[in-house]
Amino acid sequence: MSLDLTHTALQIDSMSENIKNSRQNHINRLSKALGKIRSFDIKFHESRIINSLGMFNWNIPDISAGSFDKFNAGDFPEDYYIIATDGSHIDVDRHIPVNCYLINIGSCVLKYGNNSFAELNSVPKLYAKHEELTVSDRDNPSKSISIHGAILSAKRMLEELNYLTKLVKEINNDIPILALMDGSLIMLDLIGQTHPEFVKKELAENGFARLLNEMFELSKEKQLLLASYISLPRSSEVVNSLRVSNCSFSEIHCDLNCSKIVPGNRICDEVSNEIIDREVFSEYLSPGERSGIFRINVDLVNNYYLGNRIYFFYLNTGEEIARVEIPEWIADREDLLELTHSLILNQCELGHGYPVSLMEAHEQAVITSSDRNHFVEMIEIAINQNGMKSYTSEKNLSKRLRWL
Amino acid sequence: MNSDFKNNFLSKNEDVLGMVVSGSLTNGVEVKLNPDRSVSDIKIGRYVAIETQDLKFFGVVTDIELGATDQTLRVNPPEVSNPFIANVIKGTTAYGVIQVEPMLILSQEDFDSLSGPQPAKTIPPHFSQVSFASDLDVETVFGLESDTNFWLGNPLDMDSAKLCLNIEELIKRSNGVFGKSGTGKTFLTRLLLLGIIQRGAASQLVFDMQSEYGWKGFSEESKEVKGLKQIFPSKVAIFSLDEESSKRRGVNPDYVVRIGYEDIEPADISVLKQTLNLSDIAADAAYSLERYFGPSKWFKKFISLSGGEEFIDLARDLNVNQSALSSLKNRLSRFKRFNFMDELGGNDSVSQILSYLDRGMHVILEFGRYGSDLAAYMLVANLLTRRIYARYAISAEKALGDPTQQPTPLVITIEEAHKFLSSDIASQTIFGTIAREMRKHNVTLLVVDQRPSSIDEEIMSQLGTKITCLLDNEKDLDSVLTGISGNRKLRSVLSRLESKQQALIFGHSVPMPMVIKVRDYGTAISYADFQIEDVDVDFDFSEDNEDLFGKKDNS
Amino acid sequence: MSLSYRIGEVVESSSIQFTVQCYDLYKSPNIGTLVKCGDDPQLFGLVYDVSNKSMDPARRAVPRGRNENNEEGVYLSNPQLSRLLITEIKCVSVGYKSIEGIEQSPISLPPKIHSFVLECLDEELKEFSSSLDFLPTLLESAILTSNDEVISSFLLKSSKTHNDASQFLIYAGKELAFNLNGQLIRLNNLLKRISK
Repeated sequence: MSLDLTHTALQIDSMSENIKNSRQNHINRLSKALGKIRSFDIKFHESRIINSLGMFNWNIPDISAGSFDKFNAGDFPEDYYIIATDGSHIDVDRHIPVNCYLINIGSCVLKYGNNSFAELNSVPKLYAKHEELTVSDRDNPSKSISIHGAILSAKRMLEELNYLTKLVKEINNDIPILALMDGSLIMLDLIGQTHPEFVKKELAENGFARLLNEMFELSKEKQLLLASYISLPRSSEVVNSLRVSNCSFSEIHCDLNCSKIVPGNRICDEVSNEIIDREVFSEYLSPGERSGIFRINVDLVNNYYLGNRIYFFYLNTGEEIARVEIPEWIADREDLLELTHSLILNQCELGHGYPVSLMEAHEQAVITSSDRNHFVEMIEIAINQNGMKSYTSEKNLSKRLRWL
Repeated sequence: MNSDFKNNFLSKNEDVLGMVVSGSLTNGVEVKLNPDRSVSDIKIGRYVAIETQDLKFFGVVTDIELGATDQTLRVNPPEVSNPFIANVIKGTTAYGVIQVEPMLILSQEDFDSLSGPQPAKTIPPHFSQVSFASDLDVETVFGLESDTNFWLGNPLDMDSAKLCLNIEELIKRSNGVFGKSGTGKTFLTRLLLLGIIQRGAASQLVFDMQSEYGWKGFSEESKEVKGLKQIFPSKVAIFSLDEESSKRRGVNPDYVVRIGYEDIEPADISVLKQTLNLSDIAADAAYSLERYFGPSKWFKKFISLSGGEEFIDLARDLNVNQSALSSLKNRLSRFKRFNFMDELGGNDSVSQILSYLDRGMHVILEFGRYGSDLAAYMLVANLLTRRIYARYAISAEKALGDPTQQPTPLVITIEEAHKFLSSDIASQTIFGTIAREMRKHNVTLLVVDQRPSSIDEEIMSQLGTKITCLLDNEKDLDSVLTGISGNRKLRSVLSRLESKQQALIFGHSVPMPMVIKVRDYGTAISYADFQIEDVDVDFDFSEDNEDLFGKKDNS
Repeated sequence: MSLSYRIGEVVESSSIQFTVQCYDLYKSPNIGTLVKCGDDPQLFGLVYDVSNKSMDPARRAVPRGRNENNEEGVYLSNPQLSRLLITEIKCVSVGYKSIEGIEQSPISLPPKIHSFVLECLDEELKEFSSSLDFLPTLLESAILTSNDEVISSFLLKSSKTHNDASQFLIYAGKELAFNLNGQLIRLNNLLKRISK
């Protein structure tokens, strides 16, 4: 059935009305939040946190003295590498006759300066073997879970970093390398899901974190920077941290104090309700500027990243506010931070608002719907050629053929 | 297929002009020129050959046109200032066309049977190849120089091909040489006479009005050229009507002609009607006078009459109008001033002339100062010819049945022929009779004239061969071309002849009409060409390279 | 560019034309060049269009040089461009080589995809252009976008391979004159071009 656009339009109309009204409130809050940031008192904030004894309901990053400083980009050398990877996948699907999944990693290696060149590549991998289709507890192999959905996304992220590491290793040149990933350095897919613990252990601790270590080791021999880039970040961590110094209660105890109050009417709401970080920072940061660093405070990272801490900063690329996440060994050094900042900014200029290397890596990784259909057909043909009957579900058939 | 035919008659590539693209028997064929041929390569009157599978046509270029595949070319010509574009357009988008009148056709059988080309009764098919005629072609059609073939000149733009006239055929009929004054009639006539002498085909009697044929003459540029006697001293006799004039010019005549009063007959007067401005009555009165006074005597008696009573009586006796008679006497008295006239009697010039002619020699009668007196010219020419013709008639009858006794053919050359041969007078002159009677008694005429339209039409059509230099008067053109096939085409050829040294020749003694560049005459080499072995004549070869005609046209 | 070298490969073909993607960006013959492709039979094509574009039709090239001093700088600063842009040439089929020699008519089957395409050597061009039978078809061909440019460029190139260049051009000019009957202005303009 086609969408009844007339009906929908009416509903959109009334939605717009509501939006207008809440708009003004929103603007007010933003401006309050900005004010708070401009006059941020780190000592006060820290003392209030201690005071809360963990009764603060929001997950907020660790803020330091320089978190709300603003930094300009600096110079960067003529010769350098940018290596980016991105991935896409075809999930396990009961409509596909065979149990399998496909991960396609796209990569983009760009050398700038003398002898500039580019290498664009994509590496598809089909996972169909039994051991590839599940994650098992290495201590207890009978415990396993099939890889699909969020777990597959996490695995894909792991493969992106894996390939990125491989590409970095292939460069034997003593010039700066910035390795970039798309999205977060935190395996968000593993957070908030009711996965067995061994999944986190396998994919994060034994997977992603190991690779982070490897990168760290590599950074000792090469001038290596590692970062991930999030476009249009929806996080409100920083904004939520403003609640701390805006709480009017002597002791912070959210459940106790405000559980009966409707969200939006609490005191701390006036600096943070329904606003997100990038809104505030787009006012706060001038084009080209970055904020100071914030340390991510998340269970997964704290417990399953083998000690690797992840930091982030916000960057005004000129087109948008992006969130850049970096490992500790970058965050610790001003020079590396500055270089990361400058190179990413330059990448955004070259890419008209988004890092060009990530864009190309993404292009290489993309699996179009017709690609996907061909993939399914190829599987079907392979099955048939091998004498096996394949049949695909009725839903799939009906999706494929449009009929009255 | 006899390879000789092909070998001999296939044209060389450099002579190829183009191909036949359209045409008809009445209008001739249209030939599109090949791209590498320019229209300026080709002149009207040029002789061309058209080849088909087994035939060869010979024809004459009668018109030249420019064509274009695209008529917008006339309004919007391409950029021919760019030489490359000019080179490309030429012959493709813009091309030349020539009109050709096919006249003769030669087939394999004709070649084998040596019968020569035949008149064309068909036309060549589409795309037949057309080329300039070769020297060999000219020879095939006109024959090689020989005892009977006299080399008259070269076809247009073909300096190495000799165009020959069959003298024997020529003299079987009366012929004409025409052309505006100054276009070379005299020159041509001289050549024809030389040809006839050289071939020994006939005896000749020339009434040389300007005294230019006998000993020497002058070219247009006033260069002296040798006369017939200088070339053939033993065969030519110069008779003179005016001894004084001859001597003054360094000519020693073989005989001085004197005409007696008794020689004049009324018929001689009739001829002079127009010239003397006599009315019919006055001219006819001569007959009455003859009856009255008696033949041979009447003239002397009449002009010695004084005026007055005698005269009036005479008029009454004759029953002739007095004033008419008076004007007759008046006109005839002019004759008294002619020194060649002798009241005591002539010297039987006729017999003298005949004796030379019988011996196969040629007589040229110089008129000296009398050449400028038309009356004198006409009187003498008519008078002598009448008598000679009569004698010829008698000999011819006597010799009836016996070819060995036949008198030698005689060709009589007269100038200003239209005076003798105009419609109103032709019946009265002996020349009219001779012309109409077509070689009766072996006597033919060679008429030389610049006003052919004034010559009687019937006589014109009786002329066997006509050799015409440039004519531009419409009526003259018409009269010369009467009764010729392809008449219209030849007209444009004729009216485009150069004013010197070019002539169109057509008729009985040539297989097809032909434009010729008349051979040179006046250089030592040209004289030597006529030389006969037993004559010891010294020619001055230092004159060799002199140009007879002034600046040579590049024809 | 008179040495024969591989320009690229056929990526699309039909019985009257084929499209070649060049191996290197911006390295292509210009229009009017005679090229050959395939083997048994060897086909001849005439380049009639050269285009530079994004490899992915869905992605357009965008200006990148606002802050660059020169155009070369754009490429240096964006090395991925050499991987994302391609040069493509379109060729009209003009003949093929059979055992009997060169035929100047389109062959019934188009070249295979991935056929190697090479520029013809001077001797090959000379041999091919000895006959201009294919000219009429080319003059009226609807697939070419600017027939006369292609033709004049081809003729000028061909003329250089013949012993007497101007003689060849005159021969070519006359062929054009025969075929462009009634199109005198077009003929004039074409001749002007090849007379240079």
